[in-house]
Amino acid sequence: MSSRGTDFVVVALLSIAGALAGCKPGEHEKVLDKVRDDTTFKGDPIPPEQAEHLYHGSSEPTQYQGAAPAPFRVATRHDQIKKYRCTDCHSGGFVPDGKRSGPQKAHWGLDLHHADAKTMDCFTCHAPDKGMTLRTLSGDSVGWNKPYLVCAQCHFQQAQDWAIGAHGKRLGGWAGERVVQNCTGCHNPHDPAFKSRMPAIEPENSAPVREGGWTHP
Amino acid sequence: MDASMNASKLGKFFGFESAGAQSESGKTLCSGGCGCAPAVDEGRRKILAGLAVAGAGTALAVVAGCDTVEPGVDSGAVARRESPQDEALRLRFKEQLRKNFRIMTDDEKRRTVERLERLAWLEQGADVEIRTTAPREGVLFGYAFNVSKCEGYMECVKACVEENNQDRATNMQYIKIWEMEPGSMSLESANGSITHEVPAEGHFYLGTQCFHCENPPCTKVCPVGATWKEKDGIVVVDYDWCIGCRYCEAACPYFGRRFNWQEPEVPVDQINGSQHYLGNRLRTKGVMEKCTFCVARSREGKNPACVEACPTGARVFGNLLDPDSDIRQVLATKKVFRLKEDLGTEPKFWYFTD
Repeated sequence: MSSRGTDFVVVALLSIAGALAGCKPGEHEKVLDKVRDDTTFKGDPIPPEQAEHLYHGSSEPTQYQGAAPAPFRVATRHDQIKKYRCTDCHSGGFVPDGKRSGPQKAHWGLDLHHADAKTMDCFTCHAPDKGMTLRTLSGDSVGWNKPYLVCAQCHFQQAQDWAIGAHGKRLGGWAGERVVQNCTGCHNPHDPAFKSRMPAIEPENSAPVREGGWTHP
Repeated sequence: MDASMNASKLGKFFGFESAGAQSESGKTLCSGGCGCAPAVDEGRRKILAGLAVAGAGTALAVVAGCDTVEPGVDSGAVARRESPQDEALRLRFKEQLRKNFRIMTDDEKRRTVERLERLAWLEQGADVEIRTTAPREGVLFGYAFNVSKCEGYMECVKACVEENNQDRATNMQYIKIWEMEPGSMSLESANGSITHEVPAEGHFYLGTQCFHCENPPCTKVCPVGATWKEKDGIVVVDYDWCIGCRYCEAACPYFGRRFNWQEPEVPVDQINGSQHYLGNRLRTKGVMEKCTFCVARSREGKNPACVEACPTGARVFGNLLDPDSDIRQVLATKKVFRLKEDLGTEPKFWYFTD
């Protein structure tokens, strides 16, 4: 390691040590517990019924199992479904192979732009024969509150990042119980890519302008 | 909330429009002379005079607790009849005599906050609550920005402006979103003024704001001690102590600070009343301001407005001292970098990629 690199590590360690100044060994954890457990310090709490429990280290067959350092909760989806149960309309059964044929008679707002038709069809994710739930590739039934189990089959890297907080959004606040947004809370599962649009606000004009471009911030 | 706020609400209940500090009529509604600001429209006064005096006047005096204005705080208005303009002037004068925030006692903080809340009402007609929440032990704030995820929508900038009561007239913004040229990591060639649909083909986006350096150059150059780093790592400004010399702006290598060249304008209905003394309270002409990691929110356990507003989840915020926090997990598992690391400023703001 170069001397500059060593310096950097020393500075980094010192800055952390400095922030903890006054703590004896072992007291560090106690302070952290205090911060974590302080009920007055939790941002906007998420009602339990709006977030399903996901226990770290559970027996669910997920790629990201064990990635998260602590148990966390995931925002629910079942309560947001508008058309359910499927058989209320699909009384005569479903298209056998899950592929569309002929003119679209319903679900007009639904246009599948996710992988291509050779890779995915309705039944890649939906399991109408198993209590109208979602399904894994091997046919296991997956509840509507756990679409992340379905998405993670292909998007395992994103799922791992999501489990630790490097992908997706945390709800509530930075403190207190960790509740994260479900995959389908941000991505439309039938059309998951974010779309291009105009920025939400006009950029400021007070920044210093240099000839030929902006100054280096 | 002081007595006058309740009085104003009662005034609205009885049908009076509060005309604010700019009102022509200097008379106060409360005959007790408690300094209740809302003045009555000339036309309505005639109609409602009887009610105001006989009914509301009594009710206000009792309910709003004019007599209970704490002696010794700012009770000058109780003793004598005083116009809102005079009261504002008197409070401004008292504000000139207060100490630097860092050496104030809790009682002094409470009094100055009461004055500032009253001034916000008298001068701008804004109903605000200013907190002085202190840093928590065991908390050091850090921030990470995912350059792979940012699409340049600038929802963060919009949320920041609304949360922090920034000047709408000059379109002041703490956050800058840079559209990076393909194949370049240099901000020299980046476009900081995006006026087209985003994301643009082949570009990525990088946001800058105050990085809350662990070794901040800006605080060292302040000749009056008006800016400093708090124990939880947030670099703050005492707006009423700032003399506007802009040394800090020059010292910041990241263009993290903004200066009020003119009196900031925020429409009353857009003022965010949930404020912190060191954060989003209303500023005046001639003072510096900057991102405070939304101190009014983050010290309550919430995420900063930019983090909450980001539609792509590109922004991660949390406690650097907690190994299980999102921010520490990002630092431990992702490839991260900071801007101008060779300056030794130790920003607590990291960029990372997927």
